[in-house]
Formats: sequence, structure tokens, C-alpha cells
Amino acid sequence: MVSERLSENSAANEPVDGAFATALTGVANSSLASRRYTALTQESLPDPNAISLLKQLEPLTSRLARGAINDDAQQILARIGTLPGNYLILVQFMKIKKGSGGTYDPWSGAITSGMSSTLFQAALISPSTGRVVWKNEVLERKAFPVTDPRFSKSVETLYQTLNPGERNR
Amino acid sequence: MKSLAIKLSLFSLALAVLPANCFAKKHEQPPVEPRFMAISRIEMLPMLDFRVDKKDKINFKTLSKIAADTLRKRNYVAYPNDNAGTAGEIAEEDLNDAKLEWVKRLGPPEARWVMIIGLNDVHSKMSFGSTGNAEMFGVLFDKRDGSVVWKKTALGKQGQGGLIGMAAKGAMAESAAETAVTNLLDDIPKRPDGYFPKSEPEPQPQITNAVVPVAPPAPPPAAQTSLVIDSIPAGADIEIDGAFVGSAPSTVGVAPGSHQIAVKMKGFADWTKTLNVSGGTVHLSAELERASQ
Repeated sequence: MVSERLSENSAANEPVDGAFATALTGVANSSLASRRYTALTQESLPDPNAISLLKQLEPLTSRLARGAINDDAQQILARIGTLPGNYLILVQFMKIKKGSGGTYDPWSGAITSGMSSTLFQAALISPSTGRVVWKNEVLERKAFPVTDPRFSKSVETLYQTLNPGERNR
Repeated sequence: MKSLAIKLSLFSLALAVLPANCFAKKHEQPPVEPRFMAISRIEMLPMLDFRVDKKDKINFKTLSKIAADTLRKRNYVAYPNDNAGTAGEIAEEDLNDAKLEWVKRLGPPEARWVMIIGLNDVHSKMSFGSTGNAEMFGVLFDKRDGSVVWKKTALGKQGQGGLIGMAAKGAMAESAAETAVTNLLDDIPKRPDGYFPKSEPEPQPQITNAVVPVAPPAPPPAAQTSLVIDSIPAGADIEIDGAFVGSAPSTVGVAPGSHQIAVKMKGFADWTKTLNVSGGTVHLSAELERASQ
């Protein structure tokens, strides 16, 4: 998970990042399970080569989650594709922008609206073919606290278009 | 007595004014950094659209013109250039950690300073009026060493309450984007009026008492051709003369002459064409046919 801030001190927000990651993964897991997918964490994979290769994909998360597979990613995916086991790789990306709120100037009548937004993106990639088998994105014009039910709702919306049949593509 | 009083009051006025004149600092512009003074011409590559939400229509040509005009007012030679080079499809991430090899492929080969401006987001909203928000970013590369001369992200906000604002809803997004592009370039330092950098002398080899063959002067660089390549379905790989250059749709610059263009996508038959180009812009639309099973 990658979160991006425009102005806040990122060190002070590490526990918040952890909470977002846990919440995002939790909703993603339940959404996948309801579509008969079994989500494995990197650490639970039996092959250390697979773990190492997946770690190499991490810096490319933001591209992969929107379905953009560049040459670097293609090479790593090709190597993962040769490993035993028929896996798909799920990539999730979340970008939260916390901006100033709306303003109103009673003298001129000028108004502005808030700049906050949250972007959720996910893609399911087949390493054996190097192709994106499914992708989706949800953009909310708000920055929800992790405890807000609308956060979970947005992640559920992200996975709504994922069908169990995608695994065979 | 009266005259003395006037003299005294004039004296005290002079005392009051004197310190202000003596100690007031002249408002001086800080000197422009050498990296900005060295710039002879900025090629402004086609504006990039990184928006997830593309509901609002934006005129990118207008934004490019505003950006070029802003730079010219700061005494830079800056022109929009449709030739994005051979770097392929540019992603936001490419700009954050750009490698020298990749930077060298941006824009026309002969260009040294290339500026890329991208639109990250634009959003308009109507409530008791209407508002528009925009976020843009820009990077200025020096292709000689791949360094980033300038980089910035900027916001633009517009809004008006009441019926006037509601009536202007359609223009708010565009207006916010225009504000964002102006804000984006506001920290590029203004160079002195009429300034133009002296061209740098090419390093000359030290030769003493030697007869050296003199090569004829090199011909001027030939004009590049911009190939605007699109595919149906979109996203196919583009190869030029056997080398992958990006995914469709892309604009790729090629040297004059004959080139083999291939557009490939898994599940579809390869689309190939041989082109002989001599300059200008050539549009190619590759309609891919499903491969027979």
C-alpha cells in the first residue's frame, strides 16, 4: 500500500498508514473470498523466489494497480510466471490527498471547495501471460478516516466488478 | 517667531524622514541561479493528462499557451513542441525518478531543456454557487546530464457563490486549471529584460604542431517526423524498427527515412507498415484483427 501526502509529516502518520493497510487488506480479502478467490500474503508463499520477486514489484505498485505494465514489471512477471503454482497477483494502491477545506468570502461572494480526495485502484495480473485480467478504480472526493464506514464501502465498490471467471483469463 | 516655528517643524520633519531614507533597503531581486540563466530555449512537450476523473473538458492547447506566455514574460524562449520524443508513454512515476537514458529520449533530439507539465486532477462542483479545483505539476529537465532544473506541484482554486456562480459552473474547471498552471510557474525566476545566454563554446582538443584532417562541416540536423500512433483496441505495443517504444496511443519522433512500424497485442494479429518519412506529423491508426484460433 502506498499513501501520498502533499504536506503532512509522514513519520507522524505511520500508525495511521498501518490502520489503512489493515482495513484495506481486510475488505479486499473478504471481497475476494466472496468471489471464491483465496488471497495469500507474500509471506505465506512456499517459494522464497516468489517472495523475492514480488518484493521487486513493490516499487511499481502505483503503475501496476492502474494496469500499466512497463518493461521492468514485464521482466519480473515473466520470471514469476515460470515458478510452480498458478497464481494471479493482486496489486492495490490507495492515494489519500488531504487538502484545505472550502472557504466563503461574504464580501466578494467567492467560494472554494475542499481539495481532499481518496483514490483506490486495484488490478489482478496474470504472471504467466503478463496481462492484466481485471482492474478497477474508485475516486472519492473526500479523505475518510479509516474508521468511517464509507471507507469500507468504497473498497467494496472497487471489487464489485471482479467476477470469479476472471481467474480463467 | 512664526518663521522659527516653521523652520523647527521642517527640521523635525526632515529628521523624521531622514532615518527612513537612510536605513530603508532598496528592494532588489535576488540573483537568478546559474541553472536558470543558462537556459537558451525550453521545449514544452505536449501536456500530459493524468486525471482519473476526466468528466470536465479541458483545453490543453490553451493551458500550454498560458504556460509558454508565462515563461516568455519571465524572459525565457519557450515554445510548445508536439514532438514528445522516443521515451514512449510518459507515466507520472517516470518523472519522479527519471534516469538519464530516459530523459535523453524526451522531445526533439537536438533540444537540451525540456519541460513537461501534467494535469493531475480537475474537479468542478455546484452547491450554492460553483467551484473548480485543479492540481498540476511540472518538471524541467536538462537533457545534457538528466538533471531536474525545476520541479513543482501547484493547486488552482476558483469559485463564485450565488446565481452568477451557478451560471458559470461550466467554466470553473477550466478556470481552476488555468490558475493552477499560472501558480505552477510562478517560482521560475524572472531573468533580466533582453537577456539571452551566450552559447557555450564547444571543448576544443589541444593540438600543437600537428597536421589534422579537417572534416567537412556536419549537415544541420534533419527535421524529425512525429508519428502519432493509435490502436484499436488501445494499449497495443508499438515497435519501430524492431524496438519497443511504448504503448498506443503514443507520439513518437523518428528520423527521416524508411521505418518499419509494428503494432502488437496478444490475441490479435500483428499490424505492420513500412513508412518513408521526411518530416511533419503522420497519424497512424492500427485496427487490430483478432488472431485466428
